[in-house]
Amino acid sequence: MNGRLRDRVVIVTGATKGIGRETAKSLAAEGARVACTGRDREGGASIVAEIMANGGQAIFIPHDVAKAVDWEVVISRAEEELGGIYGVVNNAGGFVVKPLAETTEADFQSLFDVNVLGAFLGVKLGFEAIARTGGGGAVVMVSSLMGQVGFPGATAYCATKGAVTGLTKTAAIEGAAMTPPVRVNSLHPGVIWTPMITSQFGDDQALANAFAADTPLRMIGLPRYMADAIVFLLSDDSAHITGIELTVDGGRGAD
Amino acid sequence: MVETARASRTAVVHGGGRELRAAVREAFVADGVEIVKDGASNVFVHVADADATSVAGSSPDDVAQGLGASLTAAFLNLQSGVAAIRSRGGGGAVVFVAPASNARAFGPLRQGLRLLAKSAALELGPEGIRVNIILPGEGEAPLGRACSPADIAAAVAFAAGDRSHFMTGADIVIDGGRMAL
Repeated sequence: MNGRLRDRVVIVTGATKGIGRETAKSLAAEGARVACTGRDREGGASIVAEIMANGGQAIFIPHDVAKAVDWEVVISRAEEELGGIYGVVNNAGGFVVKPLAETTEADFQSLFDVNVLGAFLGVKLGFEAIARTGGGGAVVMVSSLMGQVGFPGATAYCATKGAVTGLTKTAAIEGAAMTPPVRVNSLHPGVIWTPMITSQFGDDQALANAFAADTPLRMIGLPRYMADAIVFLLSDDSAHITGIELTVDGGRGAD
Repeated sequence: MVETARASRTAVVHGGGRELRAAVREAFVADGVEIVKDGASNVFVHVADADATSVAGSSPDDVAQGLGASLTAAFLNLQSGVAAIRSRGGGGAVVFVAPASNARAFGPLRQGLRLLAKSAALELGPEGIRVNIILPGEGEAPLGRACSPADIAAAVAFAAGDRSHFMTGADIVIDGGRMAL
């Protein structure tokens, strides 16, 4: 075990599938003790079983990220069962694809609750928990390339991810003033082949190939590439990095 | 894109002071990358160097010898790095390290390098060559210290290796939160 995150306790929201699931596995492989959270209990049990089978340490805690009371339970259970919190990965997110004219207030509100309010609670309550541990820490916001550029049919999603960018930078500055400091950065994935994408566009190889052809690296993004970037942003390899937007998109945003 | 196995990876590092080169060497050792003088390699690192003078006070010669020479050197070094990666085969990674400031005439150099990295990323992506840039910060940052050679080296190692397999055309800012302000 390489152990870039040895014995550090990290909460990963939305850890039952997609980027969150691969992240939980990678963090555990780097020696972290992982609190996997989410709404899907079956998925939660399976990710914990997978991590334990590989010699890692993890627990699952049911979690609606838009509810402060849920966050309180997540943090207190993680502290009790795994130890003082070092990091939070605010990964849970919703996605709606509709033209602006068809996007309802309810669509916008529900995305805002998960993507913005959820991330806000994660960084706010995460800071408190990390301060209790007393050793400094790091928070990663899983944003999107769509938090940096527009995408037709994703007004509400782009708005929420843009909000996360501002939240990240401001929290980073406040976190830098803490003693010891807490770092906060946002990760901006391009098109990553996850249930979030396939549930909207279909799980179809021709579509995956089309996304790959439209990406400078000519590949489709996989969740494990995002997990590697999140390990970097949580580890001491990025000790002087805070408030940045790290884009990992196969080059789509370079143009 | 297939990068070759860790144990057999080599890197050419161009430019940079003694301290930074030592830090990069150390970070590469941990990742199983050996620094070679020249020839076929999987990784090419270019640390930009410049003698920038003031914006208002530079003579035409100052501009040509500072900004002009630095950007030209980066461009030509990138070409030789790409040739070295192509001759090794199997794709690879180019990493630029920009000057730490926009002050004096470093701004156009910094941004020129940044956009050169993006142009190269778009052009070279289809053959599995990734190009990214490290943008260090200058002076004491909100995090309470300055950017160190070890900070830059850790990011160079990340950008050079499989841990950034899907990352190209990206900026890695290492400024302790300065640009977030």
